Amino acid sequence: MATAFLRTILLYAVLIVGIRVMGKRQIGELEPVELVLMLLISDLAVVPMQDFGIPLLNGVVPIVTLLSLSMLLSFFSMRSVRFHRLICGNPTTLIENGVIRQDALRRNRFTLDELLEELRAQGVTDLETVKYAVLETNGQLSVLLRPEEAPATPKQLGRSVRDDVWLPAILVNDGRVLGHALRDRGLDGAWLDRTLRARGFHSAREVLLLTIDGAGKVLCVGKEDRR
Amino acid sequence: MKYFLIPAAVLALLLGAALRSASAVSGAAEPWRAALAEAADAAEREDWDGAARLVRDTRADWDAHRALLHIVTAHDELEAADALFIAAESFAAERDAAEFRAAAAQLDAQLRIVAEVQALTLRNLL
Repeated sequence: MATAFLRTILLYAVLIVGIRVMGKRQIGELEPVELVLMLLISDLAVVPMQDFGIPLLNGVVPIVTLLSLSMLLSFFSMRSVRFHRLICGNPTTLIENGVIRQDALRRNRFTLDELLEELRAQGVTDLETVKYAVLETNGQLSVLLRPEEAPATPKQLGRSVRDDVWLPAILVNDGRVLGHALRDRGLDGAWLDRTLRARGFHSAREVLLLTIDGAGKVLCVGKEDRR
Repeated sequence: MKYFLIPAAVLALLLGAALRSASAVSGAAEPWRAALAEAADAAEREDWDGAARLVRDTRADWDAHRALLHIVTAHDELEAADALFIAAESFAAERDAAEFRAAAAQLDAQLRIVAEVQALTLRNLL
């Protein structure tokens, strides 16, 4: 049991480090190469976790090898568009100006039902309103509506808008003060104390979330059980 | 460039370690198999003390390599070899020539398998 416990922790750590090294994209939308990697890795990790007769290295070595190969493929894909197309394929236009490209559907083994389902998922019920529907290499369908069907932007309407979109910085997270975030904003402990007292809090431990955006707007949410 | 160098270095390291472990196991197995052949010859000559000593020494050297073998080889293969070492030792002690010859031959085959499984050969690849 202890072996299983420790092996599981070790393999889990190897997988987490590997996935972190692969980058964020790996977690969400998978390219064909990445999907194969995930399928293989998940299987490789399970076998030595459960079978103590197999050396742990028999699981770790293939996993590290696959992750390294995947990193090399990513490197060469970034370097060469041709290589990237060879490995990941090309995006395919399935609908152009409201017309379904049936040959493209057949080539990608994408059924009409699947196409309509994807369109409905994106709020499109009328094919005529679609300018382009592109099947991306990660299997997602990107839908671009005709200009007259798409929501108008202020720019299209000739209106000027004030830029009031700011990324808020978290200063207190579940009672913990994030010192580096305070310093990044040019703030200090004294400012934090004043801000908390002004909102009826005695210390950061009583605060669930405290953020400040680029315009200086503060959001403060107290913990429910602070009293 | 580090996105190329790091994975390339890891792959080179793994390949190097795999080749090194294969060579270590096969390098260790050769003298074991030679000693077993010598023990079989000694048994033929009715030199049972010599045969028993050779098997005992070989087993001691096998045990000295146990950590490496446990890390790189399927444990079933090692347990099978362990059982055959014990059998060979006991048949040598009993001076049972036929059983000793059979156990020594099986042990030799088992040690060959342990070494061969690690080797980077086309047969293993396929």
